[in-house]
Amino acid sequence: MVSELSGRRLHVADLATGSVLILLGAAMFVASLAMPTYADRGTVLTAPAIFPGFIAIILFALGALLTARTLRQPAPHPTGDGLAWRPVLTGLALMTIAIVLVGHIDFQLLIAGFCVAFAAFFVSWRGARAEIIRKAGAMAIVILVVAVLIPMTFQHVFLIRLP
Amino acid sequence: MIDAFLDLASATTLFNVLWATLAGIVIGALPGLTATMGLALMTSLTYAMAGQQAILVLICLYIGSIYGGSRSAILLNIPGTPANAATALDGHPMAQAGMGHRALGLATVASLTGGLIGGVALALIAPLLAELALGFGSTEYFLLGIVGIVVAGRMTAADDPLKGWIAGFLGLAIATVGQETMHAYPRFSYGNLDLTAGIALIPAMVGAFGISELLMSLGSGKARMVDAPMQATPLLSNFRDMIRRKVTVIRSSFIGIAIGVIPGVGEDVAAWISYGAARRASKTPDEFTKGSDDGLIAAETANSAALPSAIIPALTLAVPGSAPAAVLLAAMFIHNVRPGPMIMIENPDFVAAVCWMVIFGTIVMAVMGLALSRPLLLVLKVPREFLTPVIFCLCLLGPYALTQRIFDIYVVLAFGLLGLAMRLMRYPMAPLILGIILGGMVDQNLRRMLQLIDRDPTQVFTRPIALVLVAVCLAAIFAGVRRRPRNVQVKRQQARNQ
Amino acid sequence: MISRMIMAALALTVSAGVAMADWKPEKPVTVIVPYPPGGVTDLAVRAVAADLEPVLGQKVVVVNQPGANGSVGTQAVLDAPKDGYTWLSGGVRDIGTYKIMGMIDTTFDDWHPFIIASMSSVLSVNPGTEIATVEDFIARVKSDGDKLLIATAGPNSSGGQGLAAIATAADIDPKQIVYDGGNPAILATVSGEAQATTQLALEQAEMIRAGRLTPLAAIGTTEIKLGDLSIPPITAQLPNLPPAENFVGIYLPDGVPQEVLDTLEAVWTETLSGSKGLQQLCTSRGCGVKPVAGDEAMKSANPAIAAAAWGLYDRGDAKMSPEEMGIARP
Repeated sequence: MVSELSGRRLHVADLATGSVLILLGAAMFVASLAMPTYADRGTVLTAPAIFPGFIAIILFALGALLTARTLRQPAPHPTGDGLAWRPVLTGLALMTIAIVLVGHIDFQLLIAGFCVAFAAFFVSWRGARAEIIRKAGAMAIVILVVAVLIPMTFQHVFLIRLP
Repeated sequence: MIDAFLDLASATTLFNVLWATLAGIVIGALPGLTATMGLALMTSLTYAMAGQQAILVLICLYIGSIYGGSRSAILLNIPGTPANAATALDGHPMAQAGMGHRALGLATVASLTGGLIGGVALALIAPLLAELALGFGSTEYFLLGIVGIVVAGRMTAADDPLKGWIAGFLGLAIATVGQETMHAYPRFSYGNLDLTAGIALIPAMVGAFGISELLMSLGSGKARMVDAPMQATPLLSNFRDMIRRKVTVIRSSFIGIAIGVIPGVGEDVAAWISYGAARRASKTPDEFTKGSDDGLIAAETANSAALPSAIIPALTLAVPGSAPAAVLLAAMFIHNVRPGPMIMIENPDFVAAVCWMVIFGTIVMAVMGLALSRPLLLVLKVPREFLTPVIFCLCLLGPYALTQRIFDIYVVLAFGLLGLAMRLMRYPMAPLILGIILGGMVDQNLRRMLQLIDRDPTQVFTRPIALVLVAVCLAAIFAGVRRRPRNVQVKRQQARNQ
Repeated sequence: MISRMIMAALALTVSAGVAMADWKPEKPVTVIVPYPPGGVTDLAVRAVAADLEPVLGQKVVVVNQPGANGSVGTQAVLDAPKDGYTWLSGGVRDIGTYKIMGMIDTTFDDWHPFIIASMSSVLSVNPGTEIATVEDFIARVKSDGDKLLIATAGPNSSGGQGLAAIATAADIDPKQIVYDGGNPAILATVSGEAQATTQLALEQAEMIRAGRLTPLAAIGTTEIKLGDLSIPPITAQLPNLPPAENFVGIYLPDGVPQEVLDTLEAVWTETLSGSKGLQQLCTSRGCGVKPVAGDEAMKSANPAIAAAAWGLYDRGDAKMSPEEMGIARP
């Protein structure tokens, strides 16, 4: 379980986001200036750049506000709050692999594979023999549900073609 | 009205109401499957039915799915449809505190009340309301969009509204990607066809809420969704709790009806505006987003009241009040009903029948919802390690089902990552989604407004609705600025003490 | 092109004698509507899908895949397996102009068209403007300039193209204001934000019947009937109007099995002519049932596409000349 950032980490993160927003606003504004205005169709007031330009200015201002506000506060001392990054990164990697493979291999096979990999990483397979069997049984039900039941429902009840 | 009732009351009707409402609840509760998609699909499946029964099925499905979305919002913190994003704010904390049964029950009675009040409004003042909605011009639409973002940003991040507004305007920025409709110019697309089509709302929502929620919860091992012991809450106490908050119920119903009737603005915006108003009026605004009764009731009453109200312009102007109502309108044409300004003269029975359909659907929705509460709560008892693959699978299939595009699945992942980063840095997710919803509306109406002002500058001061909206917007911004520094100070202090 | 026409002609002769459908789909057929639900294409396709189901013996599922003026859904059909189970729908003008707009690399020759109906626009005004005739309208555009706004759903929509046709024929420069769809444009005209509209008859029908819009003329060469009301063609005043009508249809990409095309061609005209839903839609809302397939569909579509393509090119919106695609200037 990851928790939200706090203290010094949040301070640094806010500074970084503030700068990113300033850059994003500036980049959007410059890109907007390069868009055609279609003034020859009667008026410049319908130019496609007006809305992104407007948003870019506001994003720039909000980023500047965030940065200024964070700089005004003293940086909190570093705290030793260790974040549980490993499971998040593992999960992210698994999901990314699954999503990239969608459309390239059979969907039901893919999602069953995802469940097995997920179980291997996240379910603790230690403990009494009876408990392991129980867990394996539960995982088998999960695989049955996601790899057979849900796709079948989508395909035959909602008439949707699987990727 | 009574003739219409007698005409409609039959065993076939009862059967259709039952299954359609149930199907709606299921579709709404599944993340990514929305009311719009359910209706579009069901329209294909009801060609062969008699006209009135087909419309009945669709209306019940619509009601069921907007309500069903509150189930996953409360239990999983993943709003089933965009209309339930505000419901998750208070509903999920309640469930986490072991009061899941109470949250489900309260949301149900709130939806029931909102739906019935909306249904009555549809019966009594449909044509009048539709005429008033004509007063909404480009200027008002633009301002309504900005008010929506400012209010949602302020309400979801009360101790730090700056982050709420950043999320909201980031949502608007994301909505600029793709082809704009005035000149068909592809903005920020770089020749890529998928980007030219823009970032679709549903995959973005499922990613930002669903995938990021899954990622945040990983590594919690055997932990269940809710560790606190769960309390059962009797139905009567739900009604008592709601009656105690009757002011919120009435206010939210009126807001729901008012927003719903505006063409093109639906249940999602209604829930937000109502949530913001409830918080502003509340004596205990600090309880909001932590499990407030008022917050939950405000969101669910307003989205349910907006639903019948969104059908009003579809019936009397042939212009839908929301995206699902657009599908409903198409279905009416297919079944030889001709909505439009003439319907009250040519076919008043049909309008009465629609009111009864809304009322039937709403009642059946509440009965079924209450019966399903206990089985649904079992979801909270499943260990996360088993629940995650199931939800992941639904998060992939749901958005794909809507348009059957692989690109949308990549959008789900990208927004899962963005959502994770934003959650870690304490940004609210809901204004981001509202920004994507409102982007197109704000964009077009801003440019049309400029064109109209250019043509007639005096109209800036002659539009009362517009002036009210400007006032609301300024109030939401400056009330925030005054309060912020103190709150931030306190928070920093706490952070240092930890 | 010629070989395809011969093939189509052959197919027609072969299939003419076959009364029953040869191709029996084994799974539901998907029709992609590349626009949001509730629009013109969506309405027409859903009406037809209902009548095709019993003939094909399978569900015909309508999927809305909107984005980038319909090009996303069109590309999706091109990318799908060419097994005859994924059909495209939309307007012929749109499919015929994707390539010169620089959107996707497809021309109308890549498709087998099955036309459902013809759609025409109507020039209507808000009754408060007190414009009663086409001549009044032209005079007001000349005298009022910016004060007279004409609501459309964009320069490439039917309304925008209808307005462009009037502008060319009458040599005027009307001021267009763009809305995010046909319905919002019409609503803005009714509420008085805009003063006139040139959207499709189908979209305006109910407001015209209720007297909230005053129809001046049908933008085309034939009159439009809305129930008892008939709207005269604008060619009475503007005889050299470029073709402005559009056709809505279903399209199968090149490469689908011949038996699918044969079966559809064999049943198309008969099924659609007998379609009550389509009949109802068209008589009440002012479109023309036009159930033609194959060669004949091509013949109807080509002038409309040529007019649309050259219109875009002349207004400077096209990325290439229609000539490069083999579309001669009409």
